[in-house]
Amino acid sequence: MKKTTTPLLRTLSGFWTVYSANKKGVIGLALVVFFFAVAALANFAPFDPSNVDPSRTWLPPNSVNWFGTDWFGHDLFSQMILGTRVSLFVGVFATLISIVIGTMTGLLAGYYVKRLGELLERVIDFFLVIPYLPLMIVLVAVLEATEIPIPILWIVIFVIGITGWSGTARIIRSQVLTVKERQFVDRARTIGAGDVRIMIKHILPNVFPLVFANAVLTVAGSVLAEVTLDFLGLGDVTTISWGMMLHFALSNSAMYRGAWWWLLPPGVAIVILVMGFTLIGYSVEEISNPRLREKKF
Amino acid sequence: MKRTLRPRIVYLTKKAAYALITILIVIIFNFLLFRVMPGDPARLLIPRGHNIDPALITRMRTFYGIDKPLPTQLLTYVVQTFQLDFGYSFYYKAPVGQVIGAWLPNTLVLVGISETIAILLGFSTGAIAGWKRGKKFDVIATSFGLTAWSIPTFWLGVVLIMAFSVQLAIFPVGGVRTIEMNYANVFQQIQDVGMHLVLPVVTLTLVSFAEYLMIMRNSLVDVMTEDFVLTARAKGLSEQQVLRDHVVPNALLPSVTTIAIALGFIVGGALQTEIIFSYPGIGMLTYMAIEFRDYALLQALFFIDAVLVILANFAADIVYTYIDPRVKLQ
Amino acid sequence: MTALLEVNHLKTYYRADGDFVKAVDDVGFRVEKGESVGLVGESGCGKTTVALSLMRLLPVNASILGGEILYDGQDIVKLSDRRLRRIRWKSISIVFQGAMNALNPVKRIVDQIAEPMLLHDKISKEDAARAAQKLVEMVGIDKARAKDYPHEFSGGMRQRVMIAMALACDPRLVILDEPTTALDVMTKTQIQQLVKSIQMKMQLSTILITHDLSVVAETCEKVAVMYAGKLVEFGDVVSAFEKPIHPYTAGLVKAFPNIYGSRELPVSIPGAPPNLLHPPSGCRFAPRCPIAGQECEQPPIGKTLSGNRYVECWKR
Repeated sequence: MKKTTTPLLRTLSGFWTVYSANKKGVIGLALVVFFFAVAALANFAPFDPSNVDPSRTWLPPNSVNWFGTDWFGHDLFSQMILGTRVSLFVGVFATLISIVIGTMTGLLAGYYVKRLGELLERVIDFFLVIPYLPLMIVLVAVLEATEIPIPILWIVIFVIGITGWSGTARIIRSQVLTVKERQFVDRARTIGAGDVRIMIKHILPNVFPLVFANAVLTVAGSVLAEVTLDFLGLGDVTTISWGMMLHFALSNSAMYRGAWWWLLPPGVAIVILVMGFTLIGYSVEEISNPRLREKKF
Repeated sequence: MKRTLRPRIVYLTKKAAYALITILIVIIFNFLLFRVMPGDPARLLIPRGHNIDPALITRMRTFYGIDKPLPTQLLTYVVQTFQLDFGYSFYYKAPVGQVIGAWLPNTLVLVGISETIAILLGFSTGAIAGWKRGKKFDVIATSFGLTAWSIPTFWLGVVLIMAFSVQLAIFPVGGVRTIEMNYANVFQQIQDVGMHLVLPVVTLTLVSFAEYLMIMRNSLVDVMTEDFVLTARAKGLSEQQVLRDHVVPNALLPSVTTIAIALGFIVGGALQTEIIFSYPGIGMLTYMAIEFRDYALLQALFFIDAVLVILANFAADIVYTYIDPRVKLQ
Repeated sequence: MTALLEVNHLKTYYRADGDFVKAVDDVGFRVEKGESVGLVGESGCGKTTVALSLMRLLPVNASILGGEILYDGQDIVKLSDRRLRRIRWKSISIVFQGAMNALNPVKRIVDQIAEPMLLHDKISKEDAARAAQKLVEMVGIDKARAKDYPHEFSGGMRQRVMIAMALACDPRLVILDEPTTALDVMTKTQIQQLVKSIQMKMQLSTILITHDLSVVAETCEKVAVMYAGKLVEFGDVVSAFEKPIHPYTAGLVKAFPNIYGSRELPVSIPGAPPNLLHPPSGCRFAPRCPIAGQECEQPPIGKTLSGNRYVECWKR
C-alpha cells in the first residue's frame, strides 16, 4: 500500500518529471503562465485604460493603438492587458469557493454513505441538474437589487462559486468511495482513529490529485461563467474585463460596424486562457488516474 | 413482455417522483429568494427609477400575499405556479405566463433542431473517435471538442455574424423573420424563417455537438476495455461488427445518463445564442428581463428553464429503460 | 502423428515505456487430438499471455515477436486477419476467467451463443436459436432461461453459459483461462466435472490454464509448467506431479496442501518471481532454486528425457 506521508518535495519533483512528459499539460501550463505574467506586469500597459482620446475613436489597429480603439477612444491593447487580471482573479476566487464547498460535500457524502450521504447525494444531483446560467442570472440580479453593500465583482465571484461546486462534489464523492475500501482506512479505524482524523489524514491526501485536476478545470469554467455574466450586463460595468469589453462592443453595435479588432481579441484571449486551464486539468487527471493511463486496448 | 413491465414502471415512477420533488424545490427556492432578501418584495420587483404606479404595487402585494403568514404564502405560491400563474411582468404589462408562452415555441424550435442534429452527429463522431483512440481522427476530434468547449457560445455567434452576415451578407443578422415581409405562400415563409435559423442553429449545434462527441467518446473508450469486447473479437467478429453490436450499445448507456448533466449547459448555450441573434425566444426574453430588471419575469424564466431540463432528464430516463435490460427493482 | 496444436519458440512481449516486458519467452508445447493439457504457474508467469497469443487476441501494446503456432499445420502467427477470423471460435474457442464481464450485459444469452453460429455456419436464425438452447441445457441450465440477460445469472451459471458459448461452433480446441478461480468450492467441482464430461463426450482438446494444481491433476492428461515467461517442464500429469523433474515443479507440488495425505505442512517457495522487464540472463528460477549451481548462470537448454518429459534445467 502506498504511503501517504512521502516528503512533499520528493513527490512534487517526481510529479513534475511525469507531468513534463505530457505534451498537453506543458502547452496548457505555458499558456496559463503567460497570462499570469501579463496580469502581473499589467501596470506596464502603454496607456491608462480609462484614458480617453475622443479624437481617436473606432480606430482599427495602428502604430499607436496596437489593438485599435473603441467607441469612446480607449486603447484596446491596454484594456486587454488589464482585463487579464479580472479574468484570472474572478476565475481563481470563484473556484476557491466551489472547491471548498465541493470537496467538503463530496468528502462527507462519500464517507457517511448512509443517511447524511444519501441526502447530500440528492443535493449534489439537484445542483447538477439545475441549468447553471439561469440560476446565476437570477442570483446575481436579485443580489444586486437588494443593495447589499458588497461590490458587484464579489457578488459575481460568490454566485459563480456557489453554483459551480456540484461537479467537484460528485467526483470527490466517488473517489472517496473507492479510497474508503482500501485497507489502510480499515487499519486506521481499528486502532481507534476518529472519522474526521481519517478523512483529513488518510482520505484527503489520496483524493488530492483529482481535487487539483478538478480545481483547474473549474477555473476554466469560472472564467467562462464570468465572461457570460459580463456580456449579459450583470457584471461590474466599472471594471475592465474581457467580458465587459465584449459587452460594450455589442451594445455599441460593433458587429454591424465591422469593428473586428474590438470583438475578436477578447474572445480569442478567453478561448486560449480557458484551453490552457483545461489542458492542465486533463493532463493532471490522466496522470493521477492510473486507469486512464493503462488503458491501451 | 409483461415480465419486464413492472420493474420499468417502478423505476420510472421513482424517477418521476424525484423530478417532481426537484421542481418543487425550485419553486421553493424562487419563493424564498425574495422573501429572505432585505427589503419590501413588492418594491424589489419594481426597479428603482421607474414610475411607481401605486395600483401596481397593491396588485403585486395581493399576488404575493405579503401580508399573510409565510407558510400560507408558500402554499399559495406553489398552487399558483402549478396553475402557471407567475405574476405580472411590469415591462410587458401582461401576465408573465402569457409572455413566456408567446416566446417559448421559438426556443423549442431552435433547440429542437440544434440538439437533434448535435446528438446524431456528436454520438456517431464520438463513437468513431473513441474506437480509433489515439489515431489522427481521435486527436482531431478531441482537439475540436476541447476548443469548442472553451469558446463562449455568444462569441461564436458574434464571429459567425461578422463573417457571414456582415461581411458576406449571406444570412440575415438576426431575428426569426424579415420584418416587413409579407409571405406570398407557406414556402416563402419557410424559406425566410429557414434563412434566419441557419446561423443560430449552426452556433448552438457546434457547441452541443462538441459536448456530445466527448461524452460518447469517453464512454466508448471505457467500454472498449471490458472483457466482453475481447470475447466478441475471439468469436471472429470483424472490428465493425464488434463496434456495432457490442461496443456502441453498451457505450450508449452512460452516454444517455451523462446527457442529463450536459443539458444544464446546453440551456446556457441556447440562451446566449438567442441573445446574440436577437432570436425571439425565452433567451432573448431573459435578456430583456435582465436589462429592465423585471424580476417576476426572471424568476419565472428560471423556473421554466429548470422544468425543461428536468423534463428532458426524465425523457432520458425513459429512453434509458429501453436500452439497458438491467433496469430493475433495487 | 501431427499434433492438433503445436507451439514452437513462441515469444510474446509487451511494450512498456520504450522497453519490453518479456512475458512469454521461447515457449513451446503440443496438444494432441482429444487431449487435455494443463498450463500452470504463478500469477504473472505468462499463462494468460500464451492463451491470448494462441488466438492473437493480444492488446495493442503486445506483439508476437517470434515463433510459430501450428494449428492443423497452419501457422496462426502468419495468418491474414480474414483467415484468422475464420479460425476463431470455429476451430479454437476460449472461456475467460471471472465471467463477470465476459458476457455482453445488454444481449440475451441465447443471442450471444447463437452469434458465432450465425457468423461461421450457414444456419438460419431459428436453427441457431434452437441449437443455442440445446447447448444451454447441456451445461445444466434450464432451457427457459436462455432468453435471460447475463445479470440474471449467478457467477457459476454465467461460467456455464461461457462454456456453452465456447462450444457453439463445435470447435476442436477450447482454451479455459482460470474458469473456476472466482467460484466457490462446490461450484468449482461442478464446473470441472461438466468440462470433463463434455470434453470426453465431444472428443475435445482443451488447454486448462490455472494456478490450482489439483484441478490439473484431476482433469488433465498433460501439464505444462511455466515460470517467469519460460516453460520449465512439460509431460504427463501423473509423473510430473509424483516425480517432478524441475525444482520449480517440485516446489509447486510441495506447496499444495494435501487433504487426504499425510499431515505435512505445505512449504512455500521463498523469494519472488523476477521482473520480466529485465529478467536474469541465466536460468530465471536460479535465485530461488535450492539446487542452483554455477552453470545456472547460463539460460538452460530444453531437453526431452525418457518418458516423453521435457524440462529446461541444467541440473537434471
